[in-house]
Amino acid sequence: MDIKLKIWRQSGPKQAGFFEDHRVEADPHMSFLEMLDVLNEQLLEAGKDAVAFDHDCREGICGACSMVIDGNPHGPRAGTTACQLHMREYHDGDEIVIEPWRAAAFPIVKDLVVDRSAFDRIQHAGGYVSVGTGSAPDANTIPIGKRESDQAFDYAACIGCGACVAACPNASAMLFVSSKVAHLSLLPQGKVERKARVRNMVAAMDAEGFGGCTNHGECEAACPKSISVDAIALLNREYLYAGLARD
Amino acid sequence: MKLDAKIPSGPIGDKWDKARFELKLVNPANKRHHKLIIVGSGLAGASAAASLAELGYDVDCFCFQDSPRRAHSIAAQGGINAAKNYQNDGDSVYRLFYDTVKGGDYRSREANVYRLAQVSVNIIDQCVAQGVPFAREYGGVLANRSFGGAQVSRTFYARGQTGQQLLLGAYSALNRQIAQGKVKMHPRTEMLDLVVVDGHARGIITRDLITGEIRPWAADAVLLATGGYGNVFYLSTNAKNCNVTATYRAYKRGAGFANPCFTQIHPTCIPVSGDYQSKLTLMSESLRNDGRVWVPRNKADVNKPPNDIPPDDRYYYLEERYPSFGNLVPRDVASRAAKKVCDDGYGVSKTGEAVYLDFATAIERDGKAAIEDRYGNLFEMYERITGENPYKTPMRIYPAVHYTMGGLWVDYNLMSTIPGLHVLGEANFSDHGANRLGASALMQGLADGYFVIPYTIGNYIATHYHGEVSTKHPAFARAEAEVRERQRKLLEIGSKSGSKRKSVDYFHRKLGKIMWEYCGMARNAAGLEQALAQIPELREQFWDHAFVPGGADELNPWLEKAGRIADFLEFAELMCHDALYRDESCGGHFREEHQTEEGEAVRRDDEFAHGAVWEYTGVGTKPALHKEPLEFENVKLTTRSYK
Amino acid sequence: MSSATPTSARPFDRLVKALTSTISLKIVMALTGLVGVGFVLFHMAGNLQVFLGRDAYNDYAEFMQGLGPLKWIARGGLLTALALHVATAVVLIQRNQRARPERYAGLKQKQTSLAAMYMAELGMVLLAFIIYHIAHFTVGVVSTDFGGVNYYELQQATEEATRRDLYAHFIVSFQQPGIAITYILANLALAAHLAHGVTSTFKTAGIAVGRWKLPFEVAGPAIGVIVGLGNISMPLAIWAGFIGAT
Ligand SMILES: Cc1cc2nc3c(=O)[nH]c(=O)nc-3n(C[C@H](O)[C@H](O)[C@H](O)COP(=O)(O)OP(=O)(O)OC[C@H]3O[C@@H](n4cnc5c(N)ncnc54)[C@H](O)[C@@H]3O)c2cc1C
Ligand code: FES
Repeated sequence: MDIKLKIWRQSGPKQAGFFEDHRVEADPHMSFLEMLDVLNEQLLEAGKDAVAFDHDCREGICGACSMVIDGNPHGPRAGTTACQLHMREYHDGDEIVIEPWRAAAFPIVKDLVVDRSAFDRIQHAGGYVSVGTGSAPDANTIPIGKRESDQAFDYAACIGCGACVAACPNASAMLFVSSKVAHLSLLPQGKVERKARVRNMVAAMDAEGFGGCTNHGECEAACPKSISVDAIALLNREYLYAGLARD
Repeated sequence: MKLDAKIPSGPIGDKWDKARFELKLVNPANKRHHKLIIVGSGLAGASAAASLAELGYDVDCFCFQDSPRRAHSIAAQGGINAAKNYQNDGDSVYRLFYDTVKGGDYRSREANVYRLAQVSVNIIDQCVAQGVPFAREYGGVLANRSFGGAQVSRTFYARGQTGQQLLLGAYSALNRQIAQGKVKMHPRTEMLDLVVVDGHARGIITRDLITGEIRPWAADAVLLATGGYGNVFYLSTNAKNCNVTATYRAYKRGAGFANPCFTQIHPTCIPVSGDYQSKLTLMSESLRNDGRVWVPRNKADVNKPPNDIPPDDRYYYLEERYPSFGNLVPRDVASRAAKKVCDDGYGVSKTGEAVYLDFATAIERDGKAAIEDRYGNLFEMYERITGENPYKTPMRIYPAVHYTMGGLWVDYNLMSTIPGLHVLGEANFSDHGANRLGASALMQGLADGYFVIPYTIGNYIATHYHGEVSTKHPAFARAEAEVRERQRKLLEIGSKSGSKRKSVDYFHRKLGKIMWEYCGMARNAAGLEQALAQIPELREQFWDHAFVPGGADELNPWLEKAGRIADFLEFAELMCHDALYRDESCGGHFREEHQTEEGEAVRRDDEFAHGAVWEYTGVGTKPALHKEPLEFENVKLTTRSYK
Repeated sequence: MSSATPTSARPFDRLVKALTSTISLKIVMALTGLVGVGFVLFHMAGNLQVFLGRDAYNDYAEFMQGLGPLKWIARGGLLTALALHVATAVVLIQRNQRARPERYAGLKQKQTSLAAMYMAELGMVLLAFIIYHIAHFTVGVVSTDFGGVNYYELQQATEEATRRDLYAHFIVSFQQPGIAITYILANLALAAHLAHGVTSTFKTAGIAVGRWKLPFEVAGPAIGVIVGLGNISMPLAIWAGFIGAT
């Protein structure tokens, strides 16, 4: 199948970017990234610079791949990362527009590659349980209900790709932050530090220059792990609790 | 090269205790004056960095991904073993030890494996305390499953995302140390060389992948936790950027490389669909609990829709050949059996390299809902990739490269043959012998990082510390100059190669084909000789025609790849030398010359019960062999039989 | 705990930071919004008495006017809430805009609503309308003279004395198509603003989650529809000659 591509090219963070037109011959069984590989191979054999994009596991778990495909972070298929998207979703002659995540907190490094270190810095602020190696009690000492555990897992499934920020009209990182806060605060292990955690993580989030949540729910729709936007309400609740409850 | 495994004396159960007592300690107040470099932020690297920083060491940690959380460990699916015996089904430290040594086809070091089984229980405690949401029973206790044909249920799991959850746990511990300023994390920074000063590993040279800056780092010890090299085959289940560079460069600086030919081929992966294929996707081993593997009995049927083939015309080859284990035979056995039927012409799909994994019987027996409950997400993943519905038509699967048991040789203290260079996780050769059991890699990575290296590194520092070294030492300048020169050369090829230019991936794919053909699931002397002839040719073509666009001082993924592929092109030869040398079949290494009439592997214990450790002698020349004899004092060597 | 953010910042600075965090501002916005919702419902209920005729309506108006200091406290409170609502909106919107300096070629919206997308614009319309509305009915400086009569000053004779005939002002105002249309449009904007705002409020407060999610997701649009219909019914009824026909 003949595919037309409009791809964002930008040589560096300060340089101006632009859309570049390309054509590739794709196979319906290819993954989307394999289609880009084919394009890159074409470019390289022609002696040109190829399109830079982040990727690693190519099975939807590392969170490296990150591109907005026709206005959809990770492409049109719900609950699917760009690397899991396959060309059978497209038809011969389709035109596909590919651009990077766009957010002030995710500056563009090159082409489709952005700098997501802001996410790491938010995690540094409190995305952990303070337990040193060796000081853990036997794992079965604290029983945790299957329901709570499953719920915590639903939030822990976040792959840190940043699609929530990319999709949010306000470039807000609240789904990312809230899924970590929700994961830990739902578990007894995480409850001890819950107040400091939520305060510090929210402060770090603000410092990075993300926008705020205005409850569009676009993050949930774009999340390749289908994390529920309920997390954000839980985050707000934790934050209120941290502010109101006595230390 | 001297191979002293430093195995503590005494009964196996007491060795680790004894070692821990005998290992020298570093004064707590002094620890912060000792700088450690940790390369890698996967399970092994992140857990080590966090634990060592907690102890007070001054840690610099490096990874090439944009965040430590994206290390390849994130992709592990099935689970992690531990001898908790929560199920009361007869498990014990000794049994896990025994199973691992046997599963490794008696090519691992007993003492290391025993220690691994011992600390496995602490790993689960640690992870749970960090908030890792392992699967639980309704009563609130941890759930277990049996994995990869194990006779006991000792595998802890977090849906199909165990590696992710464990890594996020280790990453969170790492983050705590980063926040406290005790670990300085350097993401998107690739180690390109090891610096050895007076015979001791004292630093590394890195390239900042964003700015291209090449710079030296000095430390009191260097820890490599850089993962496996399965991508030498181009197609594997590993993440695309996994590579051998860190360990190979260490090898070139004098570290012994042990058993490089030991690779694990996982039996249940989604088959190749075309030339553009960039990686292979693993389908969890657990599928074999309910799925039945078959191919058509008649060659004429290979292109028929599977549902049109009547039951009598289906060859359930695992069930027929291995009546007692059936579809649950270990990975190496299942993989080879699939290869055999496909080589014999019974393979299905347009490539002829696929077998069916059929759930019809299970669906009929337990109902669709039950199967969906067990494997729903896997079925969905399969459908996403192939566009086929496995509830209706059998899955098509084929073996793929998955894990590398070989790695840098380390002693009991995880130190390589270069003093100060410690190697953790998949990057070392230590615990899995010739075949790794399912759910044991995660265990080993975390054991190394959380519970072994924190003790053993102290001993090295306490006994070997030779005072501070700065990057002003000429060894750093030399290594840095070499790295720059190599990079310059790589960037230069493109400008000379003109219209004959090829992408670096082109060469990687070609190398992968050679390796898969001659050094893959089945190997023989003639084939390996072939490979040893073809690899240098390919390497030469690479240095003539590989086109690397862009410059050195920017994000340049093609330059990164070129460097890694250049190393693979040398390393592949080492693998073939090792495979050729090891004139026996064991575990994942199957030499066609050594099989029974029924095609089962034949080990040669009297000749090959040792680790083959290779010393670098120059590009293109045969490396020098050293042997670490393996002594089995506790486990009796038997022939693995799954009949 | 060994918290990550440096705790060396002065307590006052930390307090300011905490109070101006995105979530705190959102909470202020939600609470002040809630005050607004309460007022809007009360205001509507009061005004709907126009359907009961001149006396009833003027009774209500007289009662409200006679509240004395209470009236001023309420007015002060409402204006403060409004001011805070607007101020937090301005700050949050600025932050949101700064967070995405470069636009997409086209971002597909999958889940949001038009109301949610245009909350700020709706808010601006409402602010303008509130100013006009106060000038019109509360202060009586615009849209008061019809046919040479100042209806704002008009008195109704009762048994004991006279009192202001705000009913007449009400009726005659809405008999003017321009004014009626302005009110109808403004109330459509209000309905949309509430539809998203009310639900949002409860999400921001961390209540609309789990089994409470659906009820609150319904509550927003429901209140929007009720307020919209209630308020629009009055100009429509007047316009159609259903009430106040002379
Ligand atoms: C699909 C799949 C499923 C698996 N499932 C299971 C399972 O269920 N159970 C199980 O036990 N095992 C499983 N495994 C195996 C297991 O995941 C790995 O063996 C293990 O995670 C390796 O961990 P590691 O820490 O050694 O290395 P990795 O996680 O590979 O980390 C390597 C790190 O080193 C860094 N690095 C490498 N080279 C350099 C360099 N030159 N410079 C700087 N940094 C560098 C990388 O950035 C990365 O941070 C699976 C493997 C795969 C592929
Ligand atoms: S490449 Fe890992 S999630 Fe897409």
